[in-house]
Amino acid sequence: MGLVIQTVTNMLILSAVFILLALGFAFVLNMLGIFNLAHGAIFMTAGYLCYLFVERMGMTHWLAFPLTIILIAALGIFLERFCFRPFIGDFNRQVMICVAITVVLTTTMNIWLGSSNISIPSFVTGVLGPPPYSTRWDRVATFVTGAIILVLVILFVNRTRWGAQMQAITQNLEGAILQGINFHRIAAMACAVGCALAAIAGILMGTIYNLSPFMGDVTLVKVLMLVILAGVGSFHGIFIVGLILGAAYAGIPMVIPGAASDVAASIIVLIILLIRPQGFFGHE
Amino acid sequence: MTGTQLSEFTGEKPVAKTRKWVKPAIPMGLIIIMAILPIFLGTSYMLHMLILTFVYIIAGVSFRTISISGQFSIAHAAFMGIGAYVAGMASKWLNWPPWLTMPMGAIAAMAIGMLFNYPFSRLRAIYYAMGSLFFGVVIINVISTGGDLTGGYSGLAGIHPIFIGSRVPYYYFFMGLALVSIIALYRFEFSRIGSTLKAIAQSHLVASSVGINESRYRILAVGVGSFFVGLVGAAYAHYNMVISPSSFNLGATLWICMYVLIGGINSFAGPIIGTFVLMLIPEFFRGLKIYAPYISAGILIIIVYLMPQGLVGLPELVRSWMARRRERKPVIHAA
Repeated sequence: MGLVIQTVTNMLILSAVFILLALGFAFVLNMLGIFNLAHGAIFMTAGYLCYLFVERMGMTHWLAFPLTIILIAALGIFLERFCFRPFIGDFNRQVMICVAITVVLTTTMNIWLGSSNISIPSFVTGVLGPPPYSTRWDRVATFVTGAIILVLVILFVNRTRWGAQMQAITQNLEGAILQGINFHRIAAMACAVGCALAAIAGILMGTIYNLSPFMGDVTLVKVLMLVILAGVGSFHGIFIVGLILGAAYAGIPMVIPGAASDVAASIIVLIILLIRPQGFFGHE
Repeated sequence: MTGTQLSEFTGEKPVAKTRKWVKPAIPMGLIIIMAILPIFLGTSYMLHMLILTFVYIIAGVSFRTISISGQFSIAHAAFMGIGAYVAGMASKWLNWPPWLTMPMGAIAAMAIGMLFNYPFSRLRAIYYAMGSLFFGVVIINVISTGGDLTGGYSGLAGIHPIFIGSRVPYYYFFMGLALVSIIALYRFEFSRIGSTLKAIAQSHLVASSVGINESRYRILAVGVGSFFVGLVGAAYAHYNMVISPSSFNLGATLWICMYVLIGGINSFAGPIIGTFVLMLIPEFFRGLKIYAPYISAGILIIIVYLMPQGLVGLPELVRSWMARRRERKPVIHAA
């Protein structure tokens, strides 16, 4: 019974983190048409920055978290202006610039903060519930934070002016520009929000697991998997497929040990991609 | 003498005549320089870097062969891994000689590449790229979970070498392999099949309408590309004697893409130039140690912003820049 609760918590946390990352990736993809291969590196950088603020500089969590998110969002605006905007529609150079960003971020974090046994101290401690059914409070807090952020994102996309403008650009770029939407401003905003979501995911992951400079690579593959399975250009698909993927990654290791679960997951993705190339909720 | 007289008679410009032998002279000169280089390079580390450069030249050129058919395959290092592991396992567990295992690795990579592309050739553009990416992930995961047979994460050790002792025979072996592969892939690209592949890349609808079997040609392109990359992977396994999955993962594939894109994906010489630049220039800054990746990133950033066509487009860029300067000059004098 304890194992089941453990698995369910893992599943919910993994799902929340995957969905946060994939939503950030999808924001950039839908606005600019860029496969942001640096998304994993941005996620990793956020974890490291938060570690720097909390552990090395001794800030409180309530100061360090917003500061990290704002810094990474600023990085997103910088990336949109100088790294993404010049290369819209040029796939080869997008790949090049994304790899360059990844190399710079990974090397910087590796040299600056190292790779050995680093994690953000958890901001809540203790155990919830009586012993056989107990979960750690930090995991519960992680999931609750992730869920609140996701609700905020849904409200942002569906209920605000900026969200409506983003949807308009996703549906029809020329039409949206003719209606007087400032494409570059909305794209910069989408990049900032996308990177901020990656930052939140990085902080949440950093409080539970150890940080490593190369954790972005593994995560990036899973994010790509989620976005492709959900279908390019679909927001609500990401939530459903994210839950399925989280369940798969928390559940399959219980049945098949070790890296074999990765094999199983990638083969399933390949087969789905073959049957339905546009993803579950894509339309093309 | 007769040449100039003939050119006067026919009205042909002698400049065109001299250029005819200049063009093949550049690669010939480069080959001769590369061939006598081991005499001057005493340190075997530099030889090792040059051997790796040859390995990645073959990988880059064969990547470009696949890409001229409009398929951006993000599994290229994984195909190299198939060749390396098939050859390595045959050498270690069955004690087969390298001259047998290397063609075997190449054929295995080709077969798996064609089998993969048989269903996947109906995906296009970014969906094909993503499909191949996941295929590469599957291959690396299968290798990593292979247990004792493949050595798992820590890698497969104890592969028999081709030559015992110095690295110099390896140098000439890999140089020969690179030359043969480059010539073969050059002939392939500028043959009728190559033109067909380029036609498919430009518009698959038009290509199908003139009777080109699109998926058959795309499978063929992947077959040829993965044959050569499997061959060089197998040779690399026999050279290095230890192979591990991390040399063939997504990161390795992306670096092969970088070698090609830096040189210029639209030109045959692109991957060769790009590999030389991105493999050897960071080596001059080896003293920087952990800061060395910044050099590679710096090269990438310079090229991505300043040279849209890659390094191959550099002469054209300089020429147009000079022409603009020459045009501007009288204006400045007048002012």
